Amino acid sequence: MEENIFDAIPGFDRLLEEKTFEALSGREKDQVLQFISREDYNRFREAVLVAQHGKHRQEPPVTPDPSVKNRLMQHFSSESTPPSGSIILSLSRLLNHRIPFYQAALAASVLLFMVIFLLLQNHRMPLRMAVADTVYLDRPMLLKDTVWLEKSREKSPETAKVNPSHPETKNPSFPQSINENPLYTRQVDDAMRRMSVISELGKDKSVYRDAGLMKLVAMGMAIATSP
Amino acid sequence: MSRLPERYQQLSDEDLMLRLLKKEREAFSVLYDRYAGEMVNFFSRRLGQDLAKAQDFLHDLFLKLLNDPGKYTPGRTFRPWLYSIALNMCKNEYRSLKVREDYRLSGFPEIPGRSGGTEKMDMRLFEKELNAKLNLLDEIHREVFLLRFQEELTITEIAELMGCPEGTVKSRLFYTLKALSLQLKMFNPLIN
Repeated sequence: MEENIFDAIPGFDRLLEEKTFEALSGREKDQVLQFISREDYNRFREAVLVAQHGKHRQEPPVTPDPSVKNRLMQHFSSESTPPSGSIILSLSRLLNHRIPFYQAALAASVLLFMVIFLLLQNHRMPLRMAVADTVYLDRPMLLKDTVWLEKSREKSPETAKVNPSHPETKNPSFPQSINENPLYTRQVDDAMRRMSVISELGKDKSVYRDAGLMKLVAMGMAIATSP
Repeated sequence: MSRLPERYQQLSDEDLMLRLLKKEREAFSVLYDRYAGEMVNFFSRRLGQDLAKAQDFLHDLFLKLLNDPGKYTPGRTFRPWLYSIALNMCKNEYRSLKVREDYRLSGFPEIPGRSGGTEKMDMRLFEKELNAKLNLLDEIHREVFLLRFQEELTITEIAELMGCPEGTVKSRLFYTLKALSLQLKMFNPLIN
């Protein structure tokens, strides 16, 4: 790749603008001659000077039309206003704006209500977080076991039923029941009497059974009522 | 408040552009004052000395800055960026005209210390030939040459404007000067 004189001589473009070849220092001449001839240098310089003087030949130079700036500044004003000024202006307008007292009070009440409502809402609403943890649940269980219940034993007189088929029951004096306490003495007597009657009657098995039963009842009642 | 414009005057182009992004009116005013003269002359040269069109282009150029300052990337050098917009405007104008005019043929260059009828005639021929040869070059090489030696941008600014390394700009400059030198040997009134 061909080496570039602009790289080898820093500021070579300025040398072309400012100095003829003859005006270059000895060192500069040596550097230039490594790349181009004296004639090339001068032709370079002529091209540069002609281009530069093409720029400067406009006499007088063109001046910007003042109306251009005016139009631009008007456009700037219409498109944008300084942000700080607009805030101050808005704030002052807001502060100077007059409204009836009831409107201000109403607005303040509504605002206060909203604040309280929001505070309460925030207080009520639990913070929802996804937390993994062990949870113990109470679940009903069916257990089978032997249960001993204490029961009070009611002391009540035994009731003896009368055998209606027995002929003795046809006797009007025969008690229909023996479980009535006030009569138990009599009942025992009656029972004893009946037992004697039964023993006299013979060998009827049903009567014997009845008599045996009555005897047992009488004995039980005697035991129960004994002090 | 009266010191505000002075304070803005001391700011760099890039700082002013950042303030323009914040819609600061004074920043725009100072930027305009700095570049309006330079840019209207640039447009005048590029548009065949059409002064009215140059003023319109100047207006449109700064209107672009106003309407879309966000196109400026903070940190970029302002001058080459502004020239890149102006160049694109000129290119669009050339395309719309379909015919690119040889806008530098009118007038007559007066080189200081070189007066005289014969030399003037030689200079006229030389300039015509230079412009003709420049027009034969491709657009990139022609623009590099004109931006450096006519608009007087630095190599660094041209590199930034064109989005290429400085070495590339230097190579293009050297190529352009050599091509012009070869073709202008017979039109060399000043050397001999």
